[in-house]
Amino acid sequence: MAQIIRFYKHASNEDLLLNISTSKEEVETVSENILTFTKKPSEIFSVDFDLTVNLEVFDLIAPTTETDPESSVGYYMSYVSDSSRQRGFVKFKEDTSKISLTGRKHLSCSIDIDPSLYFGSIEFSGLIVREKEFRKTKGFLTSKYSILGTSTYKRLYIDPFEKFDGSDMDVEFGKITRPGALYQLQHSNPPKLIINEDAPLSIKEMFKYKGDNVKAILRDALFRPIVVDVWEQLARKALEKMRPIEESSDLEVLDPENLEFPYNRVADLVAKACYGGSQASAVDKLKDDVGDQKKRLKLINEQLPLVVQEIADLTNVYKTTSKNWWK
Amino acid sequence: MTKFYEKKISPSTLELGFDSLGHLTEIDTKESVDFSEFNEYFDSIKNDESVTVHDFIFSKLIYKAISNSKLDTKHTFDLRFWQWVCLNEIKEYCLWRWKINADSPKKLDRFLGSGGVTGFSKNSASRLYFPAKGLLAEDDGENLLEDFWALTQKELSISQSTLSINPKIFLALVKATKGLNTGDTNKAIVKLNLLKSNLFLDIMDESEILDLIS
Repeated sequence: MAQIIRFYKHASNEDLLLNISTSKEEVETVSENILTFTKKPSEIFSVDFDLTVNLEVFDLIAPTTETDPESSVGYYMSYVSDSSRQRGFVKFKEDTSKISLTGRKHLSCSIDIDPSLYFGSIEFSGLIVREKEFRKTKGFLTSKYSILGTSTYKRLYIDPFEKFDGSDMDVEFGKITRPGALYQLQHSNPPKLIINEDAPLSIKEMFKYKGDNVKAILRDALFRPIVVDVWEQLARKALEKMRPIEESSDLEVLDPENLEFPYNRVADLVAKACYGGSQASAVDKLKDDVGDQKKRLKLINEQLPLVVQEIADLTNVYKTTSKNWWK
Repeated sequence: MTKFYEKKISPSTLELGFDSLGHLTEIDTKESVDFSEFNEYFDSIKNDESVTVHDFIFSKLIYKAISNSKLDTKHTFDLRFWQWVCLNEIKEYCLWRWKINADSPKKLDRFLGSGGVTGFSKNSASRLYFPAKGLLAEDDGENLLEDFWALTQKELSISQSTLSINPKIFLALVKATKGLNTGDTNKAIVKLNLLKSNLFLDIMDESEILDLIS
């Protein structure tokens, strides 16, 4: 899903609310739009969807000359799982058990998912789709199959969602490829930070120090630029992995979701830190920038070195340290 | 017996060398897929410097091997299965096809693939299988498949599009670009990619999609 600039009237995702639920107990919420199984399910399970549509939206998305535009549309749940080579759709039915007095329509549908056919995650969205065409009208999508509105995307992880915030990364002493360097990030699975075992003893003692006094504050401050650099190296690797195999303008940039762990989570984090807003829109912007050489270089050379300082909380760590000696 | 790995292999595992695969757990599919015809053809052409011209034949052979077996089709959606095939059944072919040697660690991805539709297009075995599966059932399937493999750029552009997961869209894309050169092929694919944000292509018939891009 690339960042979309629309030239037509389109329902906002606030006018089209998608809710997803399953009776399985081993499903937990990661964030507002992300659910995950805590353990890959072994049996077929059902996922239920509710779609609430603000009917006033038809005043915006349909030409004023079209009478009863709602009768020309259908409501669909679209699902895509790139990592399982699966995509499809289910048509919503009106849920007559829910009566709204506020101009909203309630619809529902469900699908059965065979977990043996799915890997990674499945992305769901609710759509308003034209089923009957209307005469061409400037500024409106009037042809059959036009998407007049899209809900926020919801994602369900069939394979458990793996979190990565950097704090659980392994740090150990060992040989590194340049004897004069102090550390090296090993892009193994998972990545590992190796501190040069031949570094001066005082440095090694500092990193091994387990106290929680002022020496620990100093140790943390000295270690923090390494953390910043490690984040930058991980982020660069993640961005490199998002690029398609061959350089070509029409090849799609990989979604972070399709990267191996932890680069998927690193790319998600970098997207959010770089662009803000919703996670989905941040990822769309990141994919756009990665797909354009000029924007990619600007991102890597200008934006990333600053963003990783924020991710690593450099200012706060320095503040904690400096206030001990400089008020 | 044909197997799959318990866990998906990442490139960093393979960078340690093929010997590192020995400790990985393999799971039996309980069926045997016979890759001998594929490997016999490989033996007959392995001294050929031109590798891409054989993609069409290899595509047919891998599809034939799998469809002639009793393998549960669920395995074909599982990259762990394709990784096992590349690293065990057709390893020599993979090394030859991508000219992989110690100086080209990045190409090790060709044994593995990665996440997403691009991953299936990167894995040396699944990239051959899915186009044949999508085309050979058609009346002029052989011609369509041969044309699909005739241009490397066409294969990449179509296979790496998430739209191509939908068999109807894949077929329409191949038909719409039949006989076109690289530039015109790219234009057709870019056009469809632009339309996908405004049109719900998944509910359209193959002929309707074909009309959009032809």
